[in-house]
Amino acid sequence: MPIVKFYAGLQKAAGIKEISIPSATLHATLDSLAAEFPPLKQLVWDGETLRPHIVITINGTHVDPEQGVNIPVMPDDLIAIFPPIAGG
Amino acid sequence: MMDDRIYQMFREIGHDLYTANMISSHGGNLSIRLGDRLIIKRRGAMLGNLKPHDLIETGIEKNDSGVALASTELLVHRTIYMNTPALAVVHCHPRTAIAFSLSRDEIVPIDNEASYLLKKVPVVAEEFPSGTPEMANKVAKALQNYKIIMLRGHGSFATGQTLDEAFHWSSTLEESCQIALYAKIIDEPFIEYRKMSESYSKF
Amino acid sequence: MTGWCEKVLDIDLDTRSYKTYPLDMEMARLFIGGRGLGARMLWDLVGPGVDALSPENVLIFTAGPLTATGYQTSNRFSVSTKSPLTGTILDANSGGFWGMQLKKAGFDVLIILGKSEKPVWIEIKNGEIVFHDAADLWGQRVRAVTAKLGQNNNRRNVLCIGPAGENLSRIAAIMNDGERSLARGGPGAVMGSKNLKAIVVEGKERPEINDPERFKFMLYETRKLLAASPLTSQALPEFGTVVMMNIVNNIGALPTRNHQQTQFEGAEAISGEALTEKYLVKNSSCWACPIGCTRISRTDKVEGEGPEFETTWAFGAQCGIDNLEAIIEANVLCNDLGMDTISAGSTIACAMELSEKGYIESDLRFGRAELLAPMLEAMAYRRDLGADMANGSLRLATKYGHPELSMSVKGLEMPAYDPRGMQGQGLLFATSNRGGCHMRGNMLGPEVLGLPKLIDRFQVKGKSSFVILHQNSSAAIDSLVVCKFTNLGVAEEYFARVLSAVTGLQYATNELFRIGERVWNLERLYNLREGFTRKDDTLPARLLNEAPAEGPSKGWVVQLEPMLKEYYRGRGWDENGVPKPQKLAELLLADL
Repeated sequence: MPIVKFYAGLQKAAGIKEISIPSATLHATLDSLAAEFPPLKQLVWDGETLRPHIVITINGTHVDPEQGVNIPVMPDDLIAIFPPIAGG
Repeated sequence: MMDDRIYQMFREIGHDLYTANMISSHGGNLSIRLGDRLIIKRRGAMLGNLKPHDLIETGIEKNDSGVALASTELLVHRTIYMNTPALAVVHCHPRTAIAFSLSRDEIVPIDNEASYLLKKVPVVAEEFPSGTPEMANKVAKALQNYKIIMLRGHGSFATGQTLDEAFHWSSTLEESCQIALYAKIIDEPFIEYRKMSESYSKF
Repeated sequence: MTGWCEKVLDIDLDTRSYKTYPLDMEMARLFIGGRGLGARMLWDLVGPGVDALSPENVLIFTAGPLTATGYQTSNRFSVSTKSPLTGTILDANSGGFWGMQLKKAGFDVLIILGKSEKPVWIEIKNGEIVFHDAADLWGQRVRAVTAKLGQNNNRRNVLCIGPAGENLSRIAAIMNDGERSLARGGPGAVMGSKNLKAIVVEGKERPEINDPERFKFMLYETRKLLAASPLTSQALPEFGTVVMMNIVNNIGALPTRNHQQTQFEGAEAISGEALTEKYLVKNSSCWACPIGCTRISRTDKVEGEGPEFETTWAFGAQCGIDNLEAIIEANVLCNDLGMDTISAGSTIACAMELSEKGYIESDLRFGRAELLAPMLEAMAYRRDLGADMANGSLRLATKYGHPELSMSVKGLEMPAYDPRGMQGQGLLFATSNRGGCHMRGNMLGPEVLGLPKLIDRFQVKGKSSFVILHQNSSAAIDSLVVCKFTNLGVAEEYFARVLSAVTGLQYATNELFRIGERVWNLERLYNLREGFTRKDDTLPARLLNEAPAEGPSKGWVVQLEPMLKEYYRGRGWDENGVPKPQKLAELLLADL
């Protein structure tokens, strides 16, 4: 099953750092996450669009928000979700 | 060979501009800067339905594309790139903003979003508002201090690091002008809700 | 004009004398302050052939017209000098309180010339300049000296060097307000070579503001914008800059074990999340800053400011160390000794690789966290192998026959982004005027964080436009002088307007970028005058030829050549990277 990992402020919002979600597309994964962790609806995915400056990578490759989230997810994929962050 | 990602970007923004009623069938233009080159829509192409061959790459200092572009459009874009740090330019015809530009030297938004993002949009005027070096220089100069400006009676020019940004300013301006138009129609005394709003016109 | 004090203070250590004179306002108009003004003055004062550690080198401390006005983050200041590490022009930038106090003391610029015969410290207090014998301070560490000289954040501020600077380590830092630093490029060694231990400032003046109404509006807008941006209102105060660790690692751009890999299996253990969870006491901030990215961390053994992302990476992933406690303690120690944490960590990593490959006889190995502290001490005091390491990784690796194992550009150790995972960052490091540095532009925004919009980090064509824009913008911000984190919420058009409101001179947004471009080109000219050429705009062979074997950046090396060609053209330079005459004329640099 694909694993989803949360970082920075999302860890507190979701209450956990990582979770396995059975799904075949990123869209479905995000829907499941929003359903399971309501704060994420506000912070990450409202059912239609990603919140501004959310960064999602699958196995370290950026998901391009332009391409949309109807992309396939493999059973051993690692999906990482970052809220807006910055540093030096 | 035009990079497909770039083509998709132009295609999407062009389409959004058309469906938002911010351009006519063949009006407006988009360009981006890549190093010392720029990519721009070809003369006669329709922004609302761009095809891959509708994008031309040429030099910023000199037009070396070998294709007869809309020379009016190209000169302004090149002048903007030579005189500002812009990496993208959106030129469109936002109808409400154009209407307001006819009777004032600056558009100062009254709605929250545009107050926050734009503060104030200057209006510049040129006798022949198309194609001349004078017009290109005037537009470029105004864009040295504002990210979006109006050319009276003609349309808006917006700059950004990406086409998205420049489109954002354009769309915000048109929305703001539509709101201002409704307020005029409603014609009731304005209740100021913004702190320090008297400073916007001095931005 | 307002904003500036319009006064320069020259201190001559040879004769222990000083003089004050008016700031050249024409120069100030074109270069503003901070890095820009410092670069312009350095051009006149330190020519080619001057040894960075000789009395002929100078230290130019500069504030800017915004400093001490109370505008958000208006606490920062610069030091300009010739770098003993790289030989290039150097500016280093720090926060805290000292810069603000220099303005309150009535000066925009403080220039230190010559060399004192014996250790000395200088007190600038309410118009009086006093030279004190520093024999009893010499040899003492930064915390002790700072406390002894009466550090009081808002009123009396201490800037000093530690043992590393005294011993002329080429990676020594100048520390201010205890744990803030002017670190990269070794300015601490320059101060040490002058026998100058500390400069203490106290003042009462406040800069004049030309248009207080407009200034107030800018303050209000900036406050709104910084509060609205989740970067400055949530991410940085809560997690500090170390929040970058996980994302940079995730995409395969975290240099590991001296850039041998691009992902570190211990990244999560040394991340901002881990720091906040286990060792954070609270956050803190510099003067007039609402963001509060500073960490106050505590372990069983120490409590202190930091660590920052770069430091945590340098002592962490770069050394193969996943022990956050040891890293926190190394940071506190490094600050106390007065050394640049990035160069120190990366030099230790270089020594680790040299040892593992048998080129040096030592028990240094990747992962040996317990050796961090002893190595730092050895470097600061030049003991044993530390004596070679104190000169930075390039001189170390060269001495032992393998210069290619120094992960540096122009001699300055690169920071926490592996360019094989971020092409634009590679171009940035290769072309930065002070050497391999991320603070002079940073492609982290577009290539990793999607700010303002995500661009493909492996894309090569068109990258140079973003690099040039970011380099110019950051040079301008370094000349105002404010903190670059403000730029995460506030666009350059606001900085132009604040500058206009404070000084009374009308700066268009474009003018600010122009000034950044001017400063950048001046720095380039300085380096060309020193003998640097296109050949030096390069990266270590490892990054150009050895692709990572694993991870998301697998198979990629940096495509520097095409990016560099496009960059030179975009900057208006010839194919050798020399600014063309028309570019210099445009920037009003033609007479240099």
